[in-house]
Amino acid sequence: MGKYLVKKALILVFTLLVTSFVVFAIFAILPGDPAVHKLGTQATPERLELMREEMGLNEPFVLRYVKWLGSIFTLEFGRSYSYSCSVGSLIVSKIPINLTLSVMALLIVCAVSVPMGIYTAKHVGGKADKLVMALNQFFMSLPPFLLGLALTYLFGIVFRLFTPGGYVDYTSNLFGFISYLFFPALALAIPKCAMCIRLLKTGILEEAQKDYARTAYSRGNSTTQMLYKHILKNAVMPTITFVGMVVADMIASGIIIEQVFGIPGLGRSLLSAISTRDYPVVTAIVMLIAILIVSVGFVTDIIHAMIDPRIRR
Amino acid sequence: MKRKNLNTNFILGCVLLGSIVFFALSGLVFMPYDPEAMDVTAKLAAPSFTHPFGCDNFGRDIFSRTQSGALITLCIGTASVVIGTIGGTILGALMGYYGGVTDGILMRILDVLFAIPSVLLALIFISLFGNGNLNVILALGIAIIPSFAKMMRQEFLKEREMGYVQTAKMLGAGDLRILLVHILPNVMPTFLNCILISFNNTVLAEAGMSYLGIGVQPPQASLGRMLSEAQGYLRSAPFYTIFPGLIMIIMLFGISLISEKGRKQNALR
Repeated sequence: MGKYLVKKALILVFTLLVTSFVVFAIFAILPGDPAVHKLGTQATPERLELMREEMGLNEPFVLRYVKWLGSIFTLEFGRSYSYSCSVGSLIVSKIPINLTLSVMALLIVCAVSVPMGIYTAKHVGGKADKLVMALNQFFMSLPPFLLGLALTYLFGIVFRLFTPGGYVDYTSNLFGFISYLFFPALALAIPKCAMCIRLLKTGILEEAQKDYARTAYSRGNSTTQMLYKHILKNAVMPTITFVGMVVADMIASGIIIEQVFGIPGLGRSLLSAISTRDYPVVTAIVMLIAILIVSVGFVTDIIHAMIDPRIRR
Repeated sequence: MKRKNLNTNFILGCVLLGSIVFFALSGLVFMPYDPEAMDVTAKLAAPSFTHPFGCDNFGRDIFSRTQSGALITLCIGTASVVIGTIGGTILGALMGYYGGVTDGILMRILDVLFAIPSVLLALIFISLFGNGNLNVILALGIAIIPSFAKMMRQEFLKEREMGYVQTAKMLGAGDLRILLVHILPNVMPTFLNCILISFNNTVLAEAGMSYLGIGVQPPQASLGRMLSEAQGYLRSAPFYTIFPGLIMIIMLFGISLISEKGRKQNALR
């Protein structure tokens, strides 16, 4: 296990290093001088020079990269071009919003799909199974923002369960914040639930036909015992891989969902930074997302290895 | 039993997607109004015989806009998939067939691209090169390449060791001929699956990007854009959201039913 961990951790660090270099390089070699962009019509040669010095643009590329790399650990990415506040503080205030949203969506996915997946596998061919499978097929194909719109209309306007666009900040009212995020999280979770249920169900059914399952059954185990003691451990593997991918996807879909529900999260900052060409903010957010996704992949691998010793070569 | 089920799904998918394609293409022959023409007297007019889907906040006919929006979405999807397919197949062949150092380096690069979600990748691309339909197509096409290449690599790697490839080599066939004439037909099922799944993802991504306002630019109609504009009138004019939304749902549901078969095979591996 130790060796496996070290190997995976080394790959993790390597991938992140390359990613950080690519992300930094893309925006650094971009044509156009950010100092010119920032000063706009007030640019004179002296002021430009001063601004470049202030923004650290006069240093060589490698030095700038190393400095930026260091800033990932201190969360100090320099100053935003358009807000003249530090990028770090801009991002840090947004992280709880996206974290809560993703965690809530993930909890919904797990809470719904695990019992449903097991139930439909146990009663395969039954009425509930047929209904769930038909609905699954439909919900899987929907983009989250369309679901978000439908939820806004249904629960926000017809049933008046929440105020569309009435976002409450977590600093002022934590309960209001969490309850407002419930529907966005639901919109994110529904398509993923559908996928998870299907994966879990096919996984269980596939495993149940294998020899070891038959042996366990013939030794007098009940169906329930067999399911929880033997089959589930093997069947859950593809689902775990998928949940790892879900986390990555939720961040991307989250950018759009934030827009649907008017949540001022990371996605919104990213979009406005892109439209104003505020590259320090863009690089920082992109890097943050990349770190998150690569780490989730790392954690998924570790969970795999913990459940299945065969993987720890 | 299972096989029959798959086929009915596939046929249903074809019917749904076909009807949307017909709907979009019919706009070329017959479109009741100019999709960009504004009519101040018909602002947010409810659906009627003159305007079957109603009118939007500028008095533009939603039916015509939906027609042209669906067409744009389908065109962008197709064009990006063509780019992604060419790029993905070439990369996949390079990595899987030749292997070695190229494979190692390209794999590391793909790992990096996998760390950035494809919507984000497209977003970055747009932020670097600006808006416009061509850039959206390029961005989405490039966003497809990593996963496409990875799936194709697997196939080329498998086929490389097969007897028929070795035989063709001994007979003196060139690499290009082996790749295109001998291997590609043999990996057709995976190849087609990749294309279908990519198309599915691209249409989804295009809708999302237009919704965010970084896809197709106004005044040109696009389904995602219309939905984002309609959201402001969700209370007063729900039909503005419902009709473009329904068209999008039917389109995506149809595509997902068609690409289902491939997903089933690939998702578990």
